[in-house]
Amino acid sequence: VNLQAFWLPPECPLDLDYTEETVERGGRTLVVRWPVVTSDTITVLCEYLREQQEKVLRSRSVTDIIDALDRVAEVWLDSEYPPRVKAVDAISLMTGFSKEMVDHSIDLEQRSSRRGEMLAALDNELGDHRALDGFVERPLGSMHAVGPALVGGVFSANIPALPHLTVMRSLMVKAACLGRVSRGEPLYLPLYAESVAAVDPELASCLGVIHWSSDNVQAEEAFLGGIDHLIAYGSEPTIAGLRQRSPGTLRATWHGHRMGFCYLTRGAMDQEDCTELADRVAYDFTVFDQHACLAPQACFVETGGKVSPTEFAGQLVDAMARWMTRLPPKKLSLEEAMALRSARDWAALRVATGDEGVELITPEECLQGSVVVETQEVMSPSPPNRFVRVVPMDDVDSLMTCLRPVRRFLQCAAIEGCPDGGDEVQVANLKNRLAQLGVTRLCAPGQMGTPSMLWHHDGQACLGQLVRWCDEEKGVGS
Amino acid sequence: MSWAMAMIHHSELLTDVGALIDASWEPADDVRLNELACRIFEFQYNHLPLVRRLADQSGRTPGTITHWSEIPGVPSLAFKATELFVGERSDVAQVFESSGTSRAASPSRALYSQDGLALMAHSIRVNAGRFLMPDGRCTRIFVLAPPPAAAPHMIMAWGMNRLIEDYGLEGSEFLIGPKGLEPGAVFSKLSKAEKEGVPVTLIGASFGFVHLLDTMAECGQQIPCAPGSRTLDAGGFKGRSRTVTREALDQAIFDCLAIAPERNVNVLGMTELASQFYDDVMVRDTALDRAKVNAPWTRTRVLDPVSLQEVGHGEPGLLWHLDLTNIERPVSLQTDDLGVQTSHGFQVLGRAKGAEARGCSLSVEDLLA
Repeated sequence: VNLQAFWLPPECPLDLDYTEETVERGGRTLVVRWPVVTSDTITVLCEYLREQQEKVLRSRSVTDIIDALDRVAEVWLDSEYPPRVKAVDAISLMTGFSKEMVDHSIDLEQRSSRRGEMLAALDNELGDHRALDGFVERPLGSMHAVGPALVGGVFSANIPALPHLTVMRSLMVKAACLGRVSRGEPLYLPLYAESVAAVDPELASCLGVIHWSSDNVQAEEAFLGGIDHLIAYGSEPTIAGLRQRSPGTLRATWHGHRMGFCYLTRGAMDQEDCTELADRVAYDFTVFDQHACLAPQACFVETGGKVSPTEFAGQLVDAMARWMTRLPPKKLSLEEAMALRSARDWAALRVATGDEGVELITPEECLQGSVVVETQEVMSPSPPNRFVRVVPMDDVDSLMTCLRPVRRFLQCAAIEGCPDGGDEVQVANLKNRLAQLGVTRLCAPGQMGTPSMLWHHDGQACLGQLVRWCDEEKGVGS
Repeated sequence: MSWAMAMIHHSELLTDVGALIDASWEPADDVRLNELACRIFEFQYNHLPLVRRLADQSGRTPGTITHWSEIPGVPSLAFKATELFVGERSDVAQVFESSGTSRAASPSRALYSQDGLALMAHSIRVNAGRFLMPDGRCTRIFVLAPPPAAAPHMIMAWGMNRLIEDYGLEGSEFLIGPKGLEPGAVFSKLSKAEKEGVPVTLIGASFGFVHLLDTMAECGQQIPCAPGSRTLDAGGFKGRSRTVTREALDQAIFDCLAIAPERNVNVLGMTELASQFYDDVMVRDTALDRAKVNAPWTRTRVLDPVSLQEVGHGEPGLLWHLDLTNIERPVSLQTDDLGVQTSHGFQVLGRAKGAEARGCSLSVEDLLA
């Protein structure tokens, strides 16, 4: 299979050379074509996309654009759609994620990319999506939201099939989009752009997908200087580097390293049977192989319920094993395996040195799907790849102490309370305190990997940040 | 078992391992190594609670294993987590500590009795004799490290001092004093040896060599060392901001000191182990296919980090060592180092990234740094 790590609109006056890289895994081979990029390439591309934005996007209505994006989501939701089949195969080969997981990711991502969600997200952040088409009446006058001409996206490789979200957010505010795909997973976005072209060629002429190697400073400089708004995903060093090199005037939305967790109250643990809850928690630790910023890195379980943290951990072992069959695990790189081995050995050592706060629940050779029970004074980052830490917690005060040092990394918390609402007051208090601390999304266990497009991603109005408002007071032109 | 009985076992093991060190290298006596390894494991199972618990956890105990490769490797993390020593605290004559590669990481600690130190000295003498002094030649040894008196916890300084004691001509010395490394003084000592026609052995950490060679290049210093000279560099560049390839280091040594690549020996030494692993370049008289070769009392395996089973030749994995001179500390060590088995030994690929971020609270500090 040959796949391109870039996509340019057919009419764009650029003819890119490429280098080929052969990727092999499990006897299968993939040839990836990497573009050869200079700062001129980026500059020409930015200019072209700006022109297309003016020509195409300014005159189209927001619902028209959303209808086209909805049709693209629809074709991607067909499991036999040939580009999807190709994407599943190639991304699995390139990243090591199982085909089942890549397939599942595409379903999750595209299901939340439909017309209703897009309109609701715009209404949620702008008050009225029609404000993008012209002035709309508001209590104090009328207002018009104007998107940037060109949004630049910098993507990470941790979740398969996610970068299109940035493309959608750009087009939804009538901005063209130039995305820089990652070294680890460059394949999905070019295939997505190709399907936008098939559904709506005019819309696709406002998209570009490109890659430059991280040491190509000139290309990055041309990119940062050529766009109006940057949406960047990446590790802490990546984000810090981009921040440092961005022109001061560039507006930006950052999505850096984040940590999630589950919190199960005593009320939740007072059930006779927690297997259904364990299944949902296990799913959260499984989805995207725990690589997402949304993924839980600990499952805090309140003590004193009918089911103890250790008993619940036992149920999680079975639940993790069931998910290993349903969504087979990632093929680990040596580094990933070493990180898991290290975390597993550390727990084993704490047990062997007589630390009573630690229990090992899974056998030695089981790294993916490992469950350990351990006390934590400060929430510890967990290695990805289905490593479950069950952390007994006496109460919410202790939880806050444990979370406070890492508050700036907190993102998603899944909370389970008493099923009959018996601890409603306690849960309400918990929600407030987590929001104050820095958590930006609360959900039920089993939902951590599937946020709605309405979510204020990392606490930000992702669409709202993109637009500039023009307010018209009463009496203009009268 | 009474402690008196244990002491008898301990001293029998010391004698038997000592004899193995003095035995012939070829052919390697695997039967004898295996018998000793299993005895040491049983001894440690009885006297090192951590070894016993880890063995019980893994189901591989003295009663169930028959081969040294089945001895559960104690993760190198254990040396950070706890003190591992078979004897009484009053038997401890020396404690060595690793510097740790991360600001936040706690050091590894290795405890030695007088007998343990003597066994380590024995191991160092024979091992270095084989790989660093195969020509049987004594040299003037210059060490790019502080002397043991200034760095009492540094196992490398202790070991290098042994080399001076065993193989150093008069004038051998440690070159890092209270003011650090003084290049002028180093140059004059090297020049003096050159003029006298005395071969030198220059010993230091790999990155220490890079600093010295950089300085020599900056000062335009070239000191062609006398024939028979050699270098021994320890470790590699893990955790350093600058990495230098072996070829570049060899070239710089040749340019500045006129010592050929097949006389530049790299050694892997660890605070956790009493024995080291030397490159075989001098023994084979070629720098091609540089690899580390086990002494008859050590073994190294390359393991898949998930299954902890051995991987095939040429496949990378984590390094697991058996070192029979570790009678008082765990005899088998599962490291964070990545390596690969080659046709005649093994090569070190470096340390696993993120291995320091090991799920203890310390890694949070790294995250917040």
